[in-house]
Amino acid sequence: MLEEGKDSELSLDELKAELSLLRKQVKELEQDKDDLETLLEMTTEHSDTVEEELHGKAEAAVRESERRLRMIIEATPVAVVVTELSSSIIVFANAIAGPLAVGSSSEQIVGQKMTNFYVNPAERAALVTLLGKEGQVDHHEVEFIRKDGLKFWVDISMRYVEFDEKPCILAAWNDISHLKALNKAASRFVPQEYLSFLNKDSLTDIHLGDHVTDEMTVMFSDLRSFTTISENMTPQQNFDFVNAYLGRVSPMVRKNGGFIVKYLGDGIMAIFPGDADSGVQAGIDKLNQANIYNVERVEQNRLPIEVGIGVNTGHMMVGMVGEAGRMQGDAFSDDVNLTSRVEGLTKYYGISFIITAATKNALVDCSKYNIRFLDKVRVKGKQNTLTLYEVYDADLPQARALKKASHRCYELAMKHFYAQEFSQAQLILLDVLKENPKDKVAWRHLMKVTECIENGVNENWTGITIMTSK
Amino acid sequence: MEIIRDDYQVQFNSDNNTVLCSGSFRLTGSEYGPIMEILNTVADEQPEFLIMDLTALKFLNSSGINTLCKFVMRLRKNNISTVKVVGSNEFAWQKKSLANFKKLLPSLELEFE
Repeated sequence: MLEEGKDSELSLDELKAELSLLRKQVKELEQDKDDLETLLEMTTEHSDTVEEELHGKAEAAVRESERRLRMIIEATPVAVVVTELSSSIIVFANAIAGPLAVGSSSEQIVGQKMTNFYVNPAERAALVTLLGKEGQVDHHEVEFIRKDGLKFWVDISMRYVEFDEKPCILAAWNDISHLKALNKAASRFVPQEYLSFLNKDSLTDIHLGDHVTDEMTVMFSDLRSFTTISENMTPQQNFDFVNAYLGRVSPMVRKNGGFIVKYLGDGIMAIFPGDADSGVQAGIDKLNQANIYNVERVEQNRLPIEVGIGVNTGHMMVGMVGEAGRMQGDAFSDDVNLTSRVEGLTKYYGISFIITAATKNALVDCSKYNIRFLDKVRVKGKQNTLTLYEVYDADLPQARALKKASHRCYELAMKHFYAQEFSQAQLILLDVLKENPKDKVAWRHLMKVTECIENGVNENWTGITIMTSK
Repeated sequence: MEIIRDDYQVQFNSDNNTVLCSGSFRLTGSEYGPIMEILNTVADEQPEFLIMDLTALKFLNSSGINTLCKFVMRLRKNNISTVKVVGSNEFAWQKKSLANFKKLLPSLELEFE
């Protein structure tokens, strides 16, 4: 290096050496500068290369991810549709959504309003409102209609999504028409009323032994004349006849809030969980249906049918019996068994409709019906005395009017009878029969009274009719 | 001498004078310090020749290429001219970026496999 104050003293050789050193240093500096430039250039270039490569990879990854998503959505066996939130216009539909909605390709439903496919467009509005409130809608059953008019049920779920940077709704659904049809078919075997009665939502929840124990009204009804009528029928005619009859009377049970527990050939066993009135009303309605049916039958030169109905109220267990692989509804208790016997007594008395005192006492308003005392009986195999009443609301108008006219006299005669005032009872019953000779019950009582007069009665006499056969 | 991490590795094998860099280098500038140290030590040992095996070097960020360039410059400064860099055709960026080493050390030999 040059030293201050010694400039003039430097020799030529020294100056040459100094110059050479300086040149070397400049060369090194230039090399360093070149290196730095190269380094900067290389780093920048490398950066660009890598950035380009990563960008390409990212784009490819997005494309691949889109391809996979589309593949999954297209392959999914569930209809998927995206609709604009503001307009409800379909902006995307997967392959399966089209055929489901319009019966043709998916392209055709893009651009259309989703509301067009709802049988009841208000239902969609309700679902969108629910989506707004809950943030999601899961498994709602709605009915869709295709362009060709075909209606079908779907199980639909909804979510909010962003699609093409717009707020949209993604809806996915499954066609459940088949399931609905199956449920409907199943409900013919186990009716919805029976399910609700057992506190079950679905048939799949029903298990052997499920039951409800409560005070209920039970009804047995039977086609009394069935054997006579069916004698000359082919098997097919038999089925048609029984179904024609059951088809007319069964709805009367449902109409009055009851349900049919089971069919017993032409017989029906029904339960009324509500008040006893519903059971009595159902009985009257059934007999009225039978009367209408009889008008048709007589017009067609066929024998009229005779129906016997017994109704009782008491504690009973209603539930599922059988075995795990085959079960059916049933009801049992002493009161249920008794009802079957009571129904059988309609034949003995020659009337259509008998209720027990338990039912009569349970009626909310017994003045609504035409009910008269029938008898005190002890059925075979039972110790207790049963007081029975006849409901004659469904007697043909003339018979009903006659029974109504003699109602008081008839019941007065029965009072005399149980007070062992047989002669008074006999006189009144004769009067009743003079007005209404077709009153089979009055005839039966007259025979009893007459027998008491002729043979006398002992001190243990109670007047109770003992049934010696079932 | 080596640095072994899950995502990147630097090793020097003195038997065949080979520096092996493999994996993905996504470190920040100062994190390359320990790597630079190894490379400087290798360069300062004045080997007669040197091989850089980069065949398993998947990714190298800017600070990484910077570190390798400085290593090549150090080799040049130490007059080690017989240098071979082996890269891989599998990683596209290597073709472009590694070729630039020749600007720093013209005698450097490049090979891709």
